[in-house]
Amino acid sequence: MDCSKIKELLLTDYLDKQADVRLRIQVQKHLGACAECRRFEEEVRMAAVSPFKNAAKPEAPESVWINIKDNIARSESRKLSLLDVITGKLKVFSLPRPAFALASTTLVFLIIFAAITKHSADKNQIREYFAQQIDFYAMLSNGEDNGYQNHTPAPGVYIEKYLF
Amino acid sequence: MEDIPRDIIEKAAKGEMEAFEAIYKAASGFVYRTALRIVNNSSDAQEVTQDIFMKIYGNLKHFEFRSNLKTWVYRITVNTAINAYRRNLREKSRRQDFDSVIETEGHSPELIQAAERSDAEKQITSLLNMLTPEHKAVIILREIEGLSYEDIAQSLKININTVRSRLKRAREALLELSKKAVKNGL
Ligand SMILES: [Zn+2]
Repeated sequence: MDCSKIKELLLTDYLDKQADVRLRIQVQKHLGACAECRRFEEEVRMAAVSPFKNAAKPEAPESVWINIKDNIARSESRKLSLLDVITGKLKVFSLPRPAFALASTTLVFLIIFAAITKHSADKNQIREYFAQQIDFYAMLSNGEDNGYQNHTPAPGVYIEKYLF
Repeated sequence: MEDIPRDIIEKAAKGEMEAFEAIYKAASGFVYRTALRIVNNSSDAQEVTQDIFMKIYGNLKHFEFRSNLKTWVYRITVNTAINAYRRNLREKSRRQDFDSVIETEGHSPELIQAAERSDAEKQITSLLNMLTPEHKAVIILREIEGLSYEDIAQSLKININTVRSRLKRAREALLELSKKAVKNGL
């Protein structure tokens, strides 16, 4: 192996201990005989490894979890109140015969719609919920913004396939 | 990031808050730190972290999502943080068109925070800031969070050779920076 191939390994697999034993031995042999590559290895470690060795590992502040819990509680109670509306009205309008069933279903939707439009807060929450969902799916599918879209997906990643 | 046991994920999917809290405890350190390194300020990193955990909560019902939770957390963290970082850059440049620079940069809490950081931390921040967001991401995932090439590939949705070439270029950039620093007597 020539020096440029060795330097490439010194910048990647060898440095990151991702090279197999055979390759490691080859690199070590070369380093034993080549002062230039030895110097290069030292420079890489100084410039690109040591500075990050003792990086601080802060945890998220307590308030983050509290906010998440609050948001979840709020979205759960929102779901419940919507469910109350649906089941409550169904009791009144669910009639046995199909024609009435259709009519009552239509009515239920009208009532729900009215309830939603009447309470603009709910409406906004629902709109916000859908906006978040749309954002999320866009983020999963859209690589455009982060420049990763031109690459082959790594094996074993099925999330997107499942969601679409 | 710690592995999250399967039964914890299943319980959280059924709505058990204690199980979801266990997921938070296992993943929030990685999420918050990575976001903090990329966006470079604590309040945005907190917002990104909240955002990500709401998405995790909302998607636990999807089976395939649950079975790839760790990879998904890695990926959504990097993507959400890079997007927040770019949004900040755009907003900053727009703000500077209108406001005076002194007004906006004068007494920000982040600056005070930065002054209190250790020299080692300052060096890390300034080195990372010299890299492109993509190079920054591979260095954070590899050097600070210790991910394998395979995990980095899955997180960034790139193949292993692209991981190699990004790490190589990122480290070459860091080498250049250190040579320049030596030349300038720093
Ligand atoms: Zn050599």
